[in-house]
Amino acid sequence: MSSEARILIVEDEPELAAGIAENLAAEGYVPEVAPDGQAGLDAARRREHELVILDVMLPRKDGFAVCRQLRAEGNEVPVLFLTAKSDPRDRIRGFEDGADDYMSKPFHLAELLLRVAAILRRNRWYKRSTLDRPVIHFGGNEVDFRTYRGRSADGTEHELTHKEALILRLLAEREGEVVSRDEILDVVWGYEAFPSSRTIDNFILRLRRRFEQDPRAPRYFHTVHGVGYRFTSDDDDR
Amino acid sequence: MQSSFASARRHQIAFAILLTVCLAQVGWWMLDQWLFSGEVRDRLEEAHRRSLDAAEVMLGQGVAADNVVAMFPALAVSEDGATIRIDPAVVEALDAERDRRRNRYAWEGGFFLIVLSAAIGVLWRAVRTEVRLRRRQRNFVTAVTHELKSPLASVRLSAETLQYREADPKTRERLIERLLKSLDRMDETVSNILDTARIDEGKLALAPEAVVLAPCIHETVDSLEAAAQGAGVTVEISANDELTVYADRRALAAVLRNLIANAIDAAAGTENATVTVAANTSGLETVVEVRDNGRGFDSADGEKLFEKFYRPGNEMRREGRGTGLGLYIARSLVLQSGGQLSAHSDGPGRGAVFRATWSRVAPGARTPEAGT
Repeated sequence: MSSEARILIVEDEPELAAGIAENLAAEGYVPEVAPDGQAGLDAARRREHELVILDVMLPRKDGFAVCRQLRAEGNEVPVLFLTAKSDPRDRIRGFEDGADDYMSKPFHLAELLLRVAAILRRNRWYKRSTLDRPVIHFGGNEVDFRTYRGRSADGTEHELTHKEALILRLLAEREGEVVSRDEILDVVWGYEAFPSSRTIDNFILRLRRRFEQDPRAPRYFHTVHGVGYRFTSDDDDR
Repeated sequence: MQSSFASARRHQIAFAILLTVCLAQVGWWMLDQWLFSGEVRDRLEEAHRRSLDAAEVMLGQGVAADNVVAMFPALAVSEDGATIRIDPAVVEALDAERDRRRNRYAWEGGFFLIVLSAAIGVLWRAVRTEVRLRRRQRNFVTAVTHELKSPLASVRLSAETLQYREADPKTRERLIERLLKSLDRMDETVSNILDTARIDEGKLALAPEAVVLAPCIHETVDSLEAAAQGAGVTVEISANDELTVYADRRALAAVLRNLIANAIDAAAGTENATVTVAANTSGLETVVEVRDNGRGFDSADGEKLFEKFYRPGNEMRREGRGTGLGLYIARSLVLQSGGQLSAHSDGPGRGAVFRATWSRVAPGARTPEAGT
């Protein structure tokens, strides 16, 4: 396994935090533990991590707030929520606040390690892919994957979320090909498909609203019914 | 949970509407009576004026003034004897009657308003208490979920690590120790919940006796030593070896443990975090003060801390561990031993002191050593 990935664990249960840290270390990662929300936020600001494992109910600052704040500061580090709150509403809230994955306590060690590996793999793919082709142009639109910024043909500036950028990245990398919903779920959300395919549809809708002149007659983000989506950077195949 | 909470909110709104309607109704009734009293008076006066007109016609026809006045009891001959007018006494009586009625309605209305407000106040309080309790119960469920699931996750993780990895004896030992510690935490949470249920059902049987305090304190502090060290908190004890309290031994231990663990938790993270446990006598009572220089609380919240399910912070942000039952249990135990438990803080971030008092000896018992 590719090692040396720094992982921040924000968890107020000291035994649990120590247990996770030891297991991550055994896998070759470099864990760091923060005992409360504020300390976690500070640690995430101080140095770059490849992943933050974040509890929700924390002293001083709750996990959702930490994640929101990181995103607001432009920190797109992947976040895995690990929490006793298993209510679907909390899961949804977690994803809305910019989480990459969500696991409820108690969890299986093997599953945690798998998910961590999946998130790291996903992110490394994104970084590598971005390095190859940091900026894409389609129609009059421009998207810079390094800064998560896009500009549509009419000159409007857009800030992409991590997930939106991942989807666009995947579609652009496979330009002209049909990418199935399952594939998108797998690459963008990880090995366990938490969200329904409707979630993907909503993300595509959002991308269309930003970059299509007429979102109802898309020229770049095409729906292939019953299969998935296809991206084209020129509008010759209308 | 969510829906029962929303329905309580709806009750509150319905209640406010009802209150407004009732008040408006009473106000309208009072105004109506007030205007009506004036109207009746004016109508009566108008009737007298009409008799005056008739009397004047009769006078014009040559009927003697005295005879005319005799026919209309409300009229009188003026002092100079030249004209007839409405008897001033009658006008006065009309005014008096009007004012009397108005007065009566004001009193009746006022009284009614007071009774209504009092009744509504009582109901309002009941509804508000209900809402608060429900909110706290919801908070409690979340807290218990966290309090049980976090150590459970830790237990599972330790067990799976043992199963999953080749561990050397030292690591094994550490993992097992961690596992046991998490189990202790779960045990504590479950005991707290059960104790609360027992207290609520009045099933807690206490057997008070004279207990020497200092060993109890030392034992409790020793058992919390690891937690204190982990949190970077120094615990200081100042207790005379001869101090006794009249209390149930187990309840006393539970109270001390609760207060000291709370104090360690509250002090954790502050600079020079210190918890002081001091025991003293005051008259026939023994006072135990647990003081920390940590989180503190708003002095207005002092009593709330002892309410069932109360936890500072909200359901997302957790200020320290706990289910919101510990202090409730502690106070119940102290009260049932005839003692008192109170809390004081100078404000958030300025530390807190919890003060428990017990009788030194059995109430009414005369022990010769009581003088030491």
